[in-house]
Amino acid sequence: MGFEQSSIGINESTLTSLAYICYLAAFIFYAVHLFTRSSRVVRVASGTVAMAGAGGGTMDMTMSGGGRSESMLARKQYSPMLGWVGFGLVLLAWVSLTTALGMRWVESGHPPYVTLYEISTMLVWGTTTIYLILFEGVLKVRAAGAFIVLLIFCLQSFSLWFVDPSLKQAVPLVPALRSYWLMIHVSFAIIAYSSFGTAAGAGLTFLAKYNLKGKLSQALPSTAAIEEFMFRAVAVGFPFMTLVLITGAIWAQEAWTKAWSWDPKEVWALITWLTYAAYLHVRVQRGVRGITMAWLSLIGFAIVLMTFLGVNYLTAWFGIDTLHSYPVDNGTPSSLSVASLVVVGIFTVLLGLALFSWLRIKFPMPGKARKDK
Amino acid sequence: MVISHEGTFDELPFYPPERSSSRFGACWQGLSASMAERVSQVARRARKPPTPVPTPLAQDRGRPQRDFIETVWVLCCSVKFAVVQNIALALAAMLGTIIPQMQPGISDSAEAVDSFLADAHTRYGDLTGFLHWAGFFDLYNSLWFRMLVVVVVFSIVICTMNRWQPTVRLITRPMVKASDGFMSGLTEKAQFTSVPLETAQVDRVLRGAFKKGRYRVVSDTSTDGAVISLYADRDRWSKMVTFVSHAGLVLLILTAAGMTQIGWRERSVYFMPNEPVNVGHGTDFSVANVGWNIDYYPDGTTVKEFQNTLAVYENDTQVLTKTIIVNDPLRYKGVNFFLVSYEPVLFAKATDASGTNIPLRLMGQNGPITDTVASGEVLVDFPYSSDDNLPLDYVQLAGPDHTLTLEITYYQNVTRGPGENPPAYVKAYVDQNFDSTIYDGFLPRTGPLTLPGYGQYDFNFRQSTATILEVAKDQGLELVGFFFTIMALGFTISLYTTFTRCWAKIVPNPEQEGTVNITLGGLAEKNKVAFERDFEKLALRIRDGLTSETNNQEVENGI
Ligand code: HEM
Repeated sequence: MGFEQSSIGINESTLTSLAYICYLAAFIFYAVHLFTRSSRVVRVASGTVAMAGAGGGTMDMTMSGGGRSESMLARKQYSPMLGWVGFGLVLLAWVSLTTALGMRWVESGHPPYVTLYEISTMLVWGTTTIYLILFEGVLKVRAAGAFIVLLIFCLQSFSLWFVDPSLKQAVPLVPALRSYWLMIHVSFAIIAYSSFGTAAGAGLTFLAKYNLKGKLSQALPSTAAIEEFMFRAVAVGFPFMTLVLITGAIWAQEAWTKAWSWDPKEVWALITWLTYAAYLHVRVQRGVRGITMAWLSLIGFAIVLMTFLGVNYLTAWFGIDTLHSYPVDNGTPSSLSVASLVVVGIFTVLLGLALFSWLRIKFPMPGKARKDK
Repeated sequence: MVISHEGTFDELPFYPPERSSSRFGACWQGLSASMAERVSQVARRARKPPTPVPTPLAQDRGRPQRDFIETVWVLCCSVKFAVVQNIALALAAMLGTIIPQMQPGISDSAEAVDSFLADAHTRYGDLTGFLHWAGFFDLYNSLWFRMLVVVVVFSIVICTMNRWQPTVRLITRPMVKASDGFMSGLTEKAQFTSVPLETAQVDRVLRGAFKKGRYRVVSDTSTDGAVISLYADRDRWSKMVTFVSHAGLVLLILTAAGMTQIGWRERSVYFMPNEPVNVGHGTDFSVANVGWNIDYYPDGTTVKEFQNTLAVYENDTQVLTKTIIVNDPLRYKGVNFFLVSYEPVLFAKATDASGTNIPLRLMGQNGPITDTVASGEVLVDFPYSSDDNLPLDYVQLAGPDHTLTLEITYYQNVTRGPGENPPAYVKAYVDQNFDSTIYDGFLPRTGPLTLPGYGQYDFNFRQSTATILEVAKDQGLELVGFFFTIMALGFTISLYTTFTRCWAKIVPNPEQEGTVNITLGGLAEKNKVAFERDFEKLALRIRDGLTSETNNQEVENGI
């Protein structure tokens, strides 16, 4: 895949490919695990608890909660083995990708934040990391795994297959990038965008729950719960997105003489930030929950892709000057157009799904009741 | 808070319905009485859905008429409008990334604007004139874009004013007694029936459990003392954080907008080697480029870093030197010197046979050769470029009989050893005979250049580098940073803290004398999953408390 073979057996290329295969396998395991998961709902501490009371009387305690009809808490309900295999595969993918990126870092002497190939791979790595920490770790939901891993797989397909092979080589840093702000600023961006990526994966899960029937839908948590997980992922991303803007401004003030110069990349980062601010507002101010949030998170991530990857194509598409761009081709127009088609493709699919679900609520099919209330 | 169930979006009410209407009061003390009354009236009406009033005008359809201020107020408080603004701002900003924008500085010169427009014409054709008129080529500085930002700021301010009082009331004067209907509408509920304890004992257990969960408790006892209502809340300050963060946002935009008005900026200031530059703008010092260095990666062609040593002079005394790089500018007396780029320059000198300097003339910026350097070296700074895009310049020697013109092209990428002449290519012409050259070739590797037939003149060239700096004074950056930090912290805190409320009601059990029934309900505005677990803990803690209290009582009673 365009890497130079190194003398050691395990090189960056094999590790990256291993991760790619693991993602595909993990997706399959996660998906099958959803279909085979028992639909038995384990209720945690709900129902009636009888207690011995004085004088031979009984004291009763009953609990009920909004999410409990299909409990948010009842998450220990998977058919465990397949899910654990999927989890193990994601972990393996993460380890090999971490090693591959680490090797690249050591070899080039700077973080792998510099070329289109590097940052798109970092986005894959980051989304996996956030998924593992937030979803598998903190929230302990595996149900969104299939969809998030699918998204990760698509992203890695972009970086492996559609970025011009000649751009996979590490390049030396130009003077403007030789700053510790590179590390800080881009790291924040990766955390933010990766969180938004997992939120979009949760959004896809939401759509599946909302639009599909049968076993798959039954195996997924309630829409209210998925919506909450989506929000948690956005809540991780938003402060980091804010930090991206701050650190970017500080760095620009040092390196480009001006904190804010309406460079396309800056503008798109601002648009991303505004989009997620809108997401939070309709949720917090209006109390909107559910499908609206799902399509907002998909639109949001489509915009993230535009900010992180698509902006690099603006020069080619519209003749725009930007200081921020990574080279997208080495004079081979074919790879440029294929890669940009993929960006546009993912973008369109996300927007299309968003539009589709919006139309479904606006113009519901006769005789079909909405499920999520 | 407008709770609305219009449309088909699934929305959950957040605030208990009891809260949605409230009166304006003390917070308007700063305003004149009549204005305060007006604002509070408007705000009240804005928050409260208008009640249908019979009206003789059929077209009113039962709505009271709103005047202009009221309409604007209501509009600014609506989330729909906020979302519309947000989208409008995003779309406008987006346009600026797909339509080429005039780079800063272009709009200062009519010539540059014309050439920009000519360029744009190839892309946009006849639309160019309209796009230019409507500000699309300088979108972010256009009036309409600025108006959009003003509207957003205005909305935030109005929206905040509108929400101030209800929010303050919500946390300072909570609703302690909750109706049964309200309790049954809460997301989290628990019930204890036939608890064999006194109302007061139960009250103590509940308070203890709430305190353990970091709640503060307010209670209300019915007049006959039979029913106790408890209200407990946690992290109510988090409601106020939103105000702080939005204020930070507004102040940030305002200072940033004001900042661009007071600072100044000189783009592309050339610092020729050892020639002090006074940047003007009332500064009392000058700065000179006194050292230059460039590092390459091992491949020998990729630039790794370039460094420029600057010396600051005050009253002809050197007060400071600093070596700057792209990521590390010089700051002196609030003025920043940013290293942007560099350009090769040559120093040219002509001498006659006796070694005396001959005056040289340099091509002026606007074409004809105008600048005369009476003696010494002339700085060749290549304001032109050749057909091959190489730096190009002209030097002239006006002799007693003939004028010699040297056309110098600089071959930057040709390497020359130390002590050798710079890689410059020279074409020499006599008088107006620009069709034939008397010299056509590189400078000799070493030694002076002499032209055939004009052996009395020696031309000497020396290589140097001019740096191109951006010099700017930005004021208020610290302030902007401060507001940004406040805003970011505020948003983060409000995302991770949740205003949480619980209500409890202790009533005597009508079916079994000597026992009480307890209803417990809770509501969190965010992070409901966490609250679900939390509420469960609370309920179990209460259960355990009640059980142990019952057991104690049994022991006391000797059962
Ligand atoms: C682009 C600018 C804006 C940004 C980045 C922003 C960001 C935020 C954030 C992060 C929150 C906290 C969400 C939460 O508590 O979970 C919030 C809440 C809120 N914002 Fe904004 N906001 C912006 C503009 C506005 C505007 C224009 C309005 C008014 C029309 C507004 C009114 C509110 C209100 C009322 C809340 C909820 C307060 C509460 O009930 O706790 N904001 N905003």
